[in-house]
Amino acid sequence: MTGRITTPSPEPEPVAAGSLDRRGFLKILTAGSSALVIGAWLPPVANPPHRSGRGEGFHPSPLIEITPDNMVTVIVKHLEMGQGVETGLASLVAEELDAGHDQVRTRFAPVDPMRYGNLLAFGMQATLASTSMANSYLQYRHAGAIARAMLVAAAAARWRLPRWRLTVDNGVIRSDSGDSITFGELAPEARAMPLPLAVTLKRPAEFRYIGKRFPRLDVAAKIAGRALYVSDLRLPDMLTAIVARPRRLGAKFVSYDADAARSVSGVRHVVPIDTGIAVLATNTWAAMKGAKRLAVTWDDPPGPLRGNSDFIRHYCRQLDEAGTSVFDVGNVTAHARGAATTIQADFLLPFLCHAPMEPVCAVLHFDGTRARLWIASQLPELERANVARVLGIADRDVEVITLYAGGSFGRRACFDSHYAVEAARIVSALDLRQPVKLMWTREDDLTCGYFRPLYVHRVTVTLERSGQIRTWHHAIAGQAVDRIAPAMSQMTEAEANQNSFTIFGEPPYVIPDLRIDFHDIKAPFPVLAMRSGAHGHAAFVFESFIDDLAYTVGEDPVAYRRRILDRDPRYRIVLDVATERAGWGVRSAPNRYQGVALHRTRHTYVALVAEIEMLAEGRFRVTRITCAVDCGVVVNPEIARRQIEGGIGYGLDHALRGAVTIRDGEVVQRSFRDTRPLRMPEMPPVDVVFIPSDAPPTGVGEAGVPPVAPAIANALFAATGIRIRTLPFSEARLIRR
Amino acid sequence: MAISLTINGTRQEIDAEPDMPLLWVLRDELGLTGTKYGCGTGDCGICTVLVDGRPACACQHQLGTLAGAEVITIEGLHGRVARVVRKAWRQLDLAECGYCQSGQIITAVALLSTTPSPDDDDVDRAFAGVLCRCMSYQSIRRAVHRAAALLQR
Repeated sequence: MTGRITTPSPEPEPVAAGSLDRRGFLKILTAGSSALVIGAWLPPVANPPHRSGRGEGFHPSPLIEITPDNMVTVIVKHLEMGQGVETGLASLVAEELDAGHDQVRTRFAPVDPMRYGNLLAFGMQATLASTSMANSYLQYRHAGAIARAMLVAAAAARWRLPRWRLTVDNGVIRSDSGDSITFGELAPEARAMPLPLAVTLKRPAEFRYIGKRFPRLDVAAKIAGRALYVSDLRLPDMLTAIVARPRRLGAKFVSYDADAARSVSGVRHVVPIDTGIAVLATNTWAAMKGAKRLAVTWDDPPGPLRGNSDFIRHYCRQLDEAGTSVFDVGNVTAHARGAATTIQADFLLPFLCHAPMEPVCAVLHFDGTRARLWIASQLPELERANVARVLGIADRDVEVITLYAGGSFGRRACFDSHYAVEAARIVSALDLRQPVKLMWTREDDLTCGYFRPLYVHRVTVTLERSGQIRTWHHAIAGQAVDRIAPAMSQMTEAEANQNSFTIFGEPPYVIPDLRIDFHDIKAPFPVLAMRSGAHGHAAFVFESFIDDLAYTVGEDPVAYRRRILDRDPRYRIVLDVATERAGWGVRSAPNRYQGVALHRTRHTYVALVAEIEMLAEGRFRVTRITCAVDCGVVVNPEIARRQIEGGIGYGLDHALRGAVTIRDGEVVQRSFRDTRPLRMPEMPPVDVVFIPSDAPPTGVGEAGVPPVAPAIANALFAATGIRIRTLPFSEARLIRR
Repeated sequence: MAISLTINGTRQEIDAEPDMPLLWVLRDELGLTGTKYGCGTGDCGICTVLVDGRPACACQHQLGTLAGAEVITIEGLHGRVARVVRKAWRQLDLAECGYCQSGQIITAVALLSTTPSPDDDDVDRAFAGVLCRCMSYQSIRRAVHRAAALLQR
């Protein structure tokens, strides 16, 4: 019944002497993280081919295995959480290898940062910040090209022919004298071939998969209910754990009634851990019922920040003081003096909940010396280290098995590995040798922290007489989210803060004097980054403000943007394409209004036009979104378009209503009935166009999110003259002046 | 006391607590894990199965109320409409994280079984109860229309 439980590949052989160690590639990263350098550091080049130890498999690199059954297995080192990276990476190998689509399958990589590190994430094994394709594009292509060269060498040796007389197509090698052989048949011989000294990658004109169609590899399993997620895992003797958690964030238990929980049929253990009281049962329902019956009394943690209004007041007070500068060019203070126009505004962005469709979940089995952890994590290396620490064993004694993630949006990139750690604490406390599945309920997910933080931005801008921006001072107050970098590298928290806000220093426009200050607020509950990170709030603030400036100087918002744009032509191209496709300035119906936003998220350029229809009583609906994207090479057009559409939907969800309200220390929204996530009837038609490009691929998972809210805010301003600087829009009053 | 019901065409005697929702009967007692947990409160719709031919949230039906019922889950979904729906999904490469897809597929089959040529409003109404946090809504709409077109052939 359990579908396919992917067994991890056998223990890889030790890395050869002389290959790069972790510090080695961190050094390269600092030396310059250009694609060329990434291409130069390659597992297949750094490591000799190794035997899998099983069967006749040909392992030209840690990324590929070719077996005598003629299957090409691509080892996927990034988490598949819906973004399509599994298919994307497999298509890169298939492209250079000239493999057929149906002979390609995948396996998720074990934790092994030496082989599977992400050079755009401090070398740690990580899936985040839209870096997967940017990091892996050349690595997987190189691996495919090397495998192809070795297969061709093997065929040439077998037939005693020069290589130029051989061709490869769809997994078959042919000679011009009529011989043919499959990859699978050649695998044992290919293993004996020396690694090529150099390989040539295909030119874009030679691509047959990249930029064309390569169907998703996970569709068949996912539409049959066969794809395996961590929450689906069933192991012999497994217990399921549900944790009774405080409604009040940060509260600790005072007392509870363990007997009441134990009276539920199927409940086996009740055990306190630091985050609540865990109830373990033979089935999920019994564990849930048991947790409800505990009747826990919680304490009332003190602290000044007990609700959204406390946070907002506190943040605004902070903004009156000087913050820590995280970015500073020119001299804002000096040059703001004597400006023709000064404008200041505050923006408020709420706490947000990621709410992936599958709540977080981990399965842990500890036999007293070694542990297996089944998880779908964006940071598997960190999960392993944190679980090992709790169990008191070495990292290498924890085997991490990655399964599909039912969505994530940043929720599975936890600096503290909190749900794997909860499982480990339960196992430790009970000295348990049975497998335990630790599940978060939806209510836990919506109410127990790990939110995108609330932020208040204060922006002060001065203009030249010409309408050009002269100085821009931007102060941000909120909880810092980047605890990952300090956990996994030698970065200090201050450096991490600086790092996560540098994006504010790269607006699309010419701003000679720009200063960003950050007020790092400590609050008594954990927070996380969310899909698109700081871009999610930066774009709302920047692009709303730019619109304000356009109206201030009396220009059309698109014309004004064009005038003050930086030299980077990619901004101008996406802006031109999106506005032309949307019919900018042409009203499609009397009650319809447009708004535009332009933003670059992790090197992907997006211009987006939102069209809204004003309904009676100041209500509105979004009727159409038009969007132009420049993400370099579009590896898989279907997946990329879906990611941008999905990102737009996600941005819309949070722009319209999504907000976590904390009142008296408790989250108000306790179910989807309260959070009212975006549903199909509210999803507008979305038109996405990609700018053709040969530039290295950047990310598409996040870039759709940031421009949505500002484009709608700008459309609302066009419609009503009311400038909304508070998200979500459901909080705003939209009465026409 | 065991409750008897038909699941995917097979008569089953289930010996579990009568207040256990069908969702956990399927997942924990029978190993039919294609039906997913999303909220447990009937709000997300991803655990939609067919109960006596009608789409229903498995988390909202307690075992004790299901004596004699006929339940079809994603694992047991069959017939021409189901085949065509899956074909349309494959043609459009439709699955992102995939966690809600069992609910989406069953909803599509239920809709097209009663309304073979739905318009956008029909689709929106039928799917309004099924969340997709990857926000594949536009693609699901397209896939349902594609399936409807395939059904006409």
